[in-house]
Amino acid sequence: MQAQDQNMPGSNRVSTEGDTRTLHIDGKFDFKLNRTFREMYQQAPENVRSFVIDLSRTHYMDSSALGMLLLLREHVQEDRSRVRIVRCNPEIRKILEIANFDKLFEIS
Amino acid sequence: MLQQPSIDEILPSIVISRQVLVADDNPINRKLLREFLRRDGYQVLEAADGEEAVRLFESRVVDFVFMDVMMPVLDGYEAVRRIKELCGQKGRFCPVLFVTAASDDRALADCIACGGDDFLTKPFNHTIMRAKMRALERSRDLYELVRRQKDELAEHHEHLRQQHEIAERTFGKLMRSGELDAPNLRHMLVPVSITSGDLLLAAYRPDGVQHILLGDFTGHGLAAAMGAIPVTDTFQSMTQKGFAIDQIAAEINRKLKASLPVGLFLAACLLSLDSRAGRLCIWNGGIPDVLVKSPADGVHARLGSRHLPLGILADELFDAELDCTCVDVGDRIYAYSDGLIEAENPAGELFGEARLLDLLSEPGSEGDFDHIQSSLEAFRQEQAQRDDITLMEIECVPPVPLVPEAVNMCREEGALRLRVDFGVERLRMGNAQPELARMLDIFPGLGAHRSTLYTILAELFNNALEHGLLQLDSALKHDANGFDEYYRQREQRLSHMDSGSIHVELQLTGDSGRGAMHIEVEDTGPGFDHAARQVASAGQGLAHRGLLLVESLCRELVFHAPGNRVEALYTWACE
Repeated sequence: MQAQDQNMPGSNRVSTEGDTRTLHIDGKFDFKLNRTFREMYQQAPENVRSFVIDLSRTHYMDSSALGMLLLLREHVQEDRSRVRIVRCNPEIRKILEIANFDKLFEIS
Repeated sequence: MLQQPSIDEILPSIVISRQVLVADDNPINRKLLREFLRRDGYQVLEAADGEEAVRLFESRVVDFVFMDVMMPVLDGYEAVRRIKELCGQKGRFCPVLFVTAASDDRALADCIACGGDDFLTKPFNHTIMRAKMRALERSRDLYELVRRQKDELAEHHEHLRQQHEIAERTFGKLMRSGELDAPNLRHMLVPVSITSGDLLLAAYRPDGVQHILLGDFTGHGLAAAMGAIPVTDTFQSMTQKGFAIDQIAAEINRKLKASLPVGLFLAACLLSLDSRAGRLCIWNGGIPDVLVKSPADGVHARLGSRHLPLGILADELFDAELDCTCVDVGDRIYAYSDGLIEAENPAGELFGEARLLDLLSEPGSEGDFDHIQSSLEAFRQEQAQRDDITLMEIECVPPVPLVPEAVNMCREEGALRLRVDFGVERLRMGNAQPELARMLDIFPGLGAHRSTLYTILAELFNNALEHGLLQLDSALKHDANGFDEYYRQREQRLSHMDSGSIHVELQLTGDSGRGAMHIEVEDTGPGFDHAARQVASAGQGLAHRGLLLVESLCRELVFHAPGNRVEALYTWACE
């Protein structure tokens, strides 16, 4: 399948493969990413069904990031199978765990 | 002679009003310009030398200047220098057009160097003059427009800033409210902005169980603070009514889910400390582990986040299950927002939970709170914070006799009598209103009279406390400053009170036709002359409104010498 890349502020990167769109977040996942994050799913091609949030290069995350994830969850009509949060480092994972977001999202 | 318009008429129309100053020592030149200008609809002021020109410019509203170079008294260059200086002071731009017969480059350059905006060389015709004027007027009007917009913007910005600040301060008060000054609580809050997104609330249930809520809204500042209203209200009122924290958590969740937009939520932990039963229960949704430390064994319990934060899940999915643990007198409980462990030092390292546990690993716990506070400060070294930091220490203290020491109730022939004694410890804790209200609840069928009776009871109780025991002077309350002082003294004396009590007795009698409540309030103070004070201060501002109000509500109000006992009778006809 063809992958399309988009340039975004910082070195955050969106790629789409088949019906899955992936957002790689580089550095801080905080309120400054609000717009980028929202556009990532709002402006997704029509055939996109699932979203992957790749946090392998994310070293900080705050509560507004959690809020953004909840907005994405609302966008996919709270369908747990349509959002995956992947490759989080232990600190990020801890934040997601404290908030018990593993009850809402697939986290790996 | 032209009628000078008033300043009010000119101000709104500075751009379109057309008053031109013509400075030239030659009357013929002035006449020529005057004719041209009048034909074009301008009003003309004339000056015969530079000094007169400056004077006219200073005292009148001038929108455009024609300036001759060579004039007696003060030449054109100097006059323009002064005029431009005046413009600068007023923040205005008034174009100056030199009219000169000179044709050498130097003289023309000087016209611009001294502050002039352009020059017109003689001889000139009306068309050229009009064109030059038009160009300069365009610049002037643009300048005016920009200046006005800038002023408006500045005003707007200031207005917004003020509103924002007021809102933040108002909400800020809500963010830390209730009985946070209870003797067993210590807290620290370091907000990022005026308003913290961290919320800290404390209140006692009528049965003496202490409730604490530590919350952390998504983000911080005003947006976060908005959610504080329903949370604070719900927490306080449900605690006062005796609800348990799982019920309160469920209710706050329901309210936030209904009122906050998706993405905004409250990570929170609610604690309930029952000293009598030695039991700590907690509902934790999104707050780092709450730590319990005993002086002997160190940290012996951790109560982690088991739930999603408040405001995310629909009511039917909400999980209100609590975690509970035993606590002993002397144990200390530490609850904190993630801002504490995520605080950074200048090298970008996090304060971390390990560091906190290390601080709590030493035996004893007396100085732990200060220790954590000073370690955090030393660690951060003024490093800018990303998040609000809140830390709360709760000490398990022996149960305070919150319920009045002696409750005596008996039923006599046709009457129901209740006597309650408020001891010094209970009085020092402040806010006896819930218990006064509960006293009335014991009497059935008060109906619409309950709230009036409550007013009477609360006023008489306050009177006994503030004047009888604390000996506060109502005269202080004559003005607003004194009012603050009065409450400052009240708080101070209350916290230092070491003896004294208040006895409240209610007796309900009634027959088929009417009801009567007899209220008696007695304090152990030396007594004071209520009646004299009441007369002396009648109608004097803020003081003694309470007693006047009570008197107007009661059928009878009698003070007994030496003034530490009062009896009130309130009657009503039954429906």
